[in-house]
Amino acid sequence: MIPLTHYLIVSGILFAIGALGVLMRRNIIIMLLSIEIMLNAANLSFVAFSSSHADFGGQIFSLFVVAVAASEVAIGLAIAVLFFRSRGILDPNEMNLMKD
Amino acid sequence: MEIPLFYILALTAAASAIVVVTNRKPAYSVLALALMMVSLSGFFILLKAYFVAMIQILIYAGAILVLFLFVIMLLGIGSSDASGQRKVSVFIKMRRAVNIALLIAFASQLVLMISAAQHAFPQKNFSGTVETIGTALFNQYLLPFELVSGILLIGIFGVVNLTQRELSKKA
Amino acid sequence: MIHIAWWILFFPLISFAIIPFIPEAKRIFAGWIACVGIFFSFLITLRFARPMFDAGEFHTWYSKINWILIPGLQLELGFFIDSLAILMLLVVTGVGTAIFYYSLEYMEHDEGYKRYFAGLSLFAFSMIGIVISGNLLQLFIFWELVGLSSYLLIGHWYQKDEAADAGKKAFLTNRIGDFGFLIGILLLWTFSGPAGSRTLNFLQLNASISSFVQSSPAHATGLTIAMLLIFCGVLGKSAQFPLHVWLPDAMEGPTPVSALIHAATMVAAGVYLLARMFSLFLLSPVALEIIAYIGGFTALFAATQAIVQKDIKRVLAYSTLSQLGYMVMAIGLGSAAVGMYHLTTHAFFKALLFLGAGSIIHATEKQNIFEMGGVIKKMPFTSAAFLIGTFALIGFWPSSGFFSKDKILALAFSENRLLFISSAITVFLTALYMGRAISLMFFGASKIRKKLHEPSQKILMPLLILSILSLAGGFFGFERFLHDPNHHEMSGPNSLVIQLATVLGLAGVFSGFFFYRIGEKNRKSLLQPFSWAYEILMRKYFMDDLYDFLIRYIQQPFAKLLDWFERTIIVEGAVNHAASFTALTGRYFKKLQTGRIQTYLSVFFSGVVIAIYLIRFGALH
Repeated sequence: MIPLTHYLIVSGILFAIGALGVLMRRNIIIMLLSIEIMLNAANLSFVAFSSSHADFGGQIFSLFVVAVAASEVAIGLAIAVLFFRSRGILDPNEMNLMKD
Repeated sequence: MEIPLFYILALTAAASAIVVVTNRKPAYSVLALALMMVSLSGFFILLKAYFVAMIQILIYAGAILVLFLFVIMLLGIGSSDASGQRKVSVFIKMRRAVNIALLIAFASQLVLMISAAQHAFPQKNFSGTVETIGTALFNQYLLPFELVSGILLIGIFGVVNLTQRELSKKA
Repeated sequence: MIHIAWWILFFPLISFAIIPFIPEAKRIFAGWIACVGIFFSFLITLRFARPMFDAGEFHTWYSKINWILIPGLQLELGFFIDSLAILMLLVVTGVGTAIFYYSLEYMEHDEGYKRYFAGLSLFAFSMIGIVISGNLLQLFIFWELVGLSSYLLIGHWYQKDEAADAGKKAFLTNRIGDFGFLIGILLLWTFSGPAGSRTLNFLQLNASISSFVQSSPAHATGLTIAMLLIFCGVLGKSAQFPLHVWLPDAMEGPTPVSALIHAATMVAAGVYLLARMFSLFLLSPVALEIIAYIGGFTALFAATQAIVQKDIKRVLAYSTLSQLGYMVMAIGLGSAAVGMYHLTTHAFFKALLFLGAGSIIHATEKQNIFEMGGVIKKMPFTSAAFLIGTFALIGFWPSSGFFSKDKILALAFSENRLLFISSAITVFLTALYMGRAISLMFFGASKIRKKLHEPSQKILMPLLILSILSLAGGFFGFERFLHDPNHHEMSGPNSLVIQLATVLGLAGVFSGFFFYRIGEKNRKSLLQPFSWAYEILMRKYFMDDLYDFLIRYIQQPFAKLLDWFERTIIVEGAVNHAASFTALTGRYFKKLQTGRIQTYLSVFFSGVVIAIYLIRFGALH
């Protein structure tokens, strides 16, 4: 029997890796992928707690997270495509038209 | 049987996540992410959340990641990454150092907190099959379920709106 | 019964709301809607008045809704209808209906036809609001609305500079009075009891103020000040000296508006306020005495100026001032009933005089009485109506003016001989200036080349009705509505006073005819020694010059000082420097907004880490 703590540690490690990707990579696509890692880490915590408490709420919310992730990816990728078409690069640091 | 399986899955997930973040080629990152999804669904099976495990593979690996692949192919950015081509400024170097320090602080503290919590893990006769999840979803969680459909609808509108403008500009 | 009372108030408001939406092509409906609105109000008022006409019973209706309820401050909106209010409502809606109907023809070809009738309806609404208000604050709200609507109507022909200026003058003069009125209301509010149980409600105000006055002798002085401040509002609205200056200028408005302002609505509001709060004024004899003297002085003061006016409307305007002085004096001498009685009869004959004059002006297109003459042959009906009005104004038996004016004179005779003498002189002067106006307008050779004819029935009908009321108003029993709270019986007929007044009236009319008709040729030489008096009268006793001086040399430099203070100290010193400080800090903080999304994320993430540390070490418990 694996204790709940183990799952949570795995979830935390995955979340940290995802956060690292979002913060440090200068490519929108990779940033979106890293966000997916973070969402999945949260999902793992949800399901682990769900089993621990014998409550379906956690599992159901992991399904909701999947739905939200799908919307987010669709819009995020659309923006990425538009940005790439207009600027020819994917560096988020160049997204500064609204500055000043 | 269970314990070695857990450690194999954990190692696979962590390793593939690191590959996602560090790989220069976005296409490889997507494939590594697919591997991470599969190992996560392995975790879900261990936790007896069978339905969520299936959804994880079908929607994430099957749909979302394919969408990523599509976009990467479409844009033709097979190996390009901004950080490789451009000179990295001092500012960004500083920011990286701060980020890594933050992450170490975050992860260490998180692990400490979690190990201090020491949760029991009952499990008993609890399993998330299609039937049990469906019953809960359409009774107790009907309202959030409907609201999620709203989010998806807005997502569709958003994407259509963004790409539509692109089309009309070309025409 | 009680719920339909609201409709008295709301019918004119509904008309006002509908009129702007009527298309210009069908604008005739605007006039009719306004007429129907006030006529319905009149009908409902009659429904309330019937038990009093029938059996002389006195009913009081009271109803309210809560408006503001916070601890220490309870304000309500409500209506309070007693016999006084019903009489006033009869005057406002009844005479108002006649004037509205008259306007249908008078304003027929005016450009601002819809605007005019919308203004009239708003005016009627505000005036009815004053009459049925259940508390002082609500009364004040409608009081200000009357000021606004009078501004709109006096300045109806705003393209003319004189009209626009007259509107402004009326509004500003009223504002001065209203400022005192507002302070008076607030003072009364603080006097009305300990904090938390204060009231402005007419039903409770009397008891609470009388207990306040009895509690300490010093309080009587406080009440006198409060009542005099409230009287300031009356000074403005009812155009008493020294705030009377707006009323003659208000003649720049259309004639039916003058009739409405002078007879039924605006100036009556001040007298009505005095009558409504009469029981409070009774608690302060000093205030009452001052009021009586101001009223008596205004009566005499205005009557002298009326003698030299050349514009028929201005003659009538000064006559209104003078009659208002009578009313205020009567109330000051201790009888609200007599004052209100004269207000009622005055509303009839003054509306009649204005509408008659309007009819003549409409036909001749002249306002100067020296340019008229011989009108009686061309327009017999209108002239007859005007003569009946004059008859009542001078106060000959059996017209309505006889009854009310006689009561005022009898009251003055028994209360204050000095004021009686000035009132008697005023009677003579009234007869004199009216005799002068009539002899110049109606008799002698016509100086008008235009062909004159009687107007249509829309103008004649109101004249007929008002003639009947002016002539026979004394027999309709309007005094039944009036009973003094201190059960002061109205003074009975005083034969000495009646004889004296009649003789003075006849003498006045005769002198008027003598100077301007029979002895016209000798007038110049006879009046030569009094040319200095003529000059003073024409300059309105230098009142306008005095105000001009006050504004030019006192108010204006003070305003300039304030202006300098505001520009250099407040705007330049405080506001602009505060703004430049904000701009400066903004310029520095702007640099934090790098526009780089990952920097933001880093900051956000460090916030998360700090939060985690705080939780970990128990800092957030």
